[in-house]
Amino acid sequence: MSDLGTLALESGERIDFASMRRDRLARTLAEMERDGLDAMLLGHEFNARYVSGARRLWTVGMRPFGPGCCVIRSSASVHLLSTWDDGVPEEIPHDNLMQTSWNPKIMLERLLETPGIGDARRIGIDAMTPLFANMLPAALPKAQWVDAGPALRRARAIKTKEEVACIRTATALAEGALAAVLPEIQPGASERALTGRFHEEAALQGTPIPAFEASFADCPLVATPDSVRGPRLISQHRNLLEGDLVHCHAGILYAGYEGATASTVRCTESGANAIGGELASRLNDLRSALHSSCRPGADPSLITAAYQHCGEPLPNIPILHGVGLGMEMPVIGRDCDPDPQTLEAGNVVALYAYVEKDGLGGALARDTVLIKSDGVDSLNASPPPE
Amino acid sequence: MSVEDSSPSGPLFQAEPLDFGQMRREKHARITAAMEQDGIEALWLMGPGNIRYLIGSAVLPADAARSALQPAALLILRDQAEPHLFTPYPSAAPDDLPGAFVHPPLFVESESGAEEAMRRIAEVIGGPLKEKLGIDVYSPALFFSLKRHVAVDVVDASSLIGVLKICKSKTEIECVRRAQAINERAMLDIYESLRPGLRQSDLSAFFFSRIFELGACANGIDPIWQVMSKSIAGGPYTTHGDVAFPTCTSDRILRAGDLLWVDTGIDYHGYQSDFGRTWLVGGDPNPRQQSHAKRWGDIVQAVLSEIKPGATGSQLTRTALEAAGGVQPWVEHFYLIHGIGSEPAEQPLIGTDLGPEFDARMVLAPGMILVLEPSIWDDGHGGYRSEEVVAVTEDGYERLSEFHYFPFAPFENPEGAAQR
Repeated sequence: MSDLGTLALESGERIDFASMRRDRLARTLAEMERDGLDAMLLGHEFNARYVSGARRLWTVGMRPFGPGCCVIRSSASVHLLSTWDDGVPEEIPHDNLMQTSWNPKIMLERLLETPGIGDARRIGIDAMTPLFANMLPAALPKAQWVDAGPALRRARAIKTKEEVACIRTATALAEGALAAVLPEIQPGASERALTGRFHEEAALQGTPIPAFEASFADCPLVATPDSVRGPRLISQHRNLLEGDLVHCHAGILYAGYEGATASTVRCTESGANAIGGELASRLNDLRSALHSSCRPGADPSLITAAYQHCGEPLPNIPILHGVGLGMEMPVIGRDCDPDPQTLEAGNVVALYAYVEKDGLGGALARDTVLIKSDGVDSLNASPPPE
Repeated sequence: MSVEDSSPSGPLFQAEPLDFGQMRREKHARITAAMEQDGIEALWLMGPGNIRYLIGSAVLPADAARSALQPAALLILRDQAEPHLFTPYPSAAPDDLPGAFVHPPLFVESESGAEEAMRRIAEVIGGPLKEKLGIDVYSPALFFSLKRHVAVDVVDASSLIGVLKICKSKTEIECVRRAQAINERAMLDIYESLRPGLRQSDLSAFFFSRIFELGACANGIDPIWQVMSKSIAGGPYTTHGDVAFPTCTSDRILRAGDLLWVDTGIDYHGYQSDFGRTWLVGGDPNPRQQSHAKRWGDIVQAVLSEIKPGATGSQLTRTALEAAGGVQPWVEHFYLIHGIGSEPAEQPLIGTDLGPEFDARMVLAPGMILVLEPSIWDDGHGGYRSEEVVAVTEDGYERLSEFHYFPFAPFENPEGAAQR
């Protein structure tokens, strides 16, 4: 399968978004049924987008929780906090739009008008605030409140072919935008300005929404004693010097799906150069080991075992996370989920390899793979050597 | 090896460093005093706006999904001089926060993660809580885990912090002024390059490269370049029958004569900017369009003339309504005025559906920052909307925005609103 371009192709061989939305809602309703959820109140944009397909205004970070999207299982209907229908798929009727409000009481009144919410006995939530923790049970006293997370996680974890096409395309776009910036990784370039340049290139390609702020971070050649090793993934107010090792980490969203890339390069007068040498060969070995540990049914401990097998200590970043509408579970690594779910065919995951050596610095790489029943399919341009 | 940029203040402000550490310690002292007063022993904070307020931009600016799975969090203990920061990005912690207060991140989106988080939080607290715990936002797993483990009352931390945030110190006001200055410098270049044939997303592209070059700490919102329909019936459909704004940017190609309502915002060390203007693609406004801008300018002038300590929110909405000839001059789902600080829209909110009583109780005080955003709509002919950012002073206000209004002329003085 190839990635998708951005030209208008009237023959219609690109993504069937209507079918993708139908599949996602069907998966959601099936998982709600499995957990006995009559309704879900969703505040997180990624969950609301998964069930509704609505493209609402992107703002940075988590929003304060409010019931921005409501799913009623009995009627298979989705209700959205949106004052207008711009960005809202046609299958969501105008009657299902709730006007935004600054007043939590009014917001709650509008929510209670949702047909079916009053009859829901078991309602899943994806976040909560002390304010709504008081208001919701008082307004819906018969409902039992539970975590919607497990149902949503199961629904989202298995990707349809349209979702995989979105992630593959997003990855190509992220790689392309980074490639445009690599020649500018020269002495004197500021890390922060390179961040802006990546997002400029990404927006010029038609993907102005970031998955996260891109970083171009100089890597010290000798790590600070006592601290856990790992790359700094935030650009600072620094100007790069000749010979610096620079960790590049950049990602965008295409139709909400994350595409990202990570690599380490050397800053030279002629732009970014490959690092080569011991770090590069250790990095490749680790990437291959991570790749081959990604199999359906793989216990998450196999992923950390790949690091041990290569003799590399775990860095302070996740070494595996799900990829879909942004970052997804499982999130595996130091200080991550203590009990992550087992990998399954249909998952798309990002694998982070990181190696370092005092005196040489560190090297970082990200591989994005689709887990299939018989192996993995690399969604980035250059998979690790076999 | 790299050298430190001489100024984290950014290239525009290298000669005028701000003491971000002092600002942070002042806010910490205020929050712990407020906790003392309300009998709150500890605060657990994961809302990005609250974290920005208390320690600056120490969070990776990211999509909501990454923010939820890799959150930064603050634990504030009333009797300690510094906050505890749990973060996946320790390099973004404030330089002067001692290492003992910077902890590895917590994972709170699964049941076992939340249980582990509870254990680690308890370890830092050092013993069972005796008084109230304040929280701003929970993951569901943390919400249920907390119910099992914590016996004390849980109260809303956002309202506690909201009271502290409303009046800003001189340094905080300076941060908003700088955020605004960076934002406006970037928009100046975009205004100059505006032409038919560019796509909305191209304008976003230029914006991103400029703001980071100029020293922004983050972008805050998908930049808005909405092409306005001439009439409400031209869509999009709205629930209230009023104008739809702001809608998402796409790769729509801009054409000569398109009327753009523009809205962008960035972060500078935890403080936000808000840029709103009406632009016209490839041409000059016709007399009717100029009259919309003039009406907008009249309302802004009238409201500005009332802004001083002691004025109430209802006084300002009444003034705006009178200046607009009795028609509410702002979009139904918005406001006449909003505050700005660590959130792009925060208190004081004036003219919202919090209601007239709320507006009557809102009394202006020195240090409040007000974003005036009335809008004019002339159905069938479009409308005009811009935003004016001012800080309330001891005896009036000072402007924090300096951007021009071209190609429109809402004020007699072409350089902008009347100065005090």
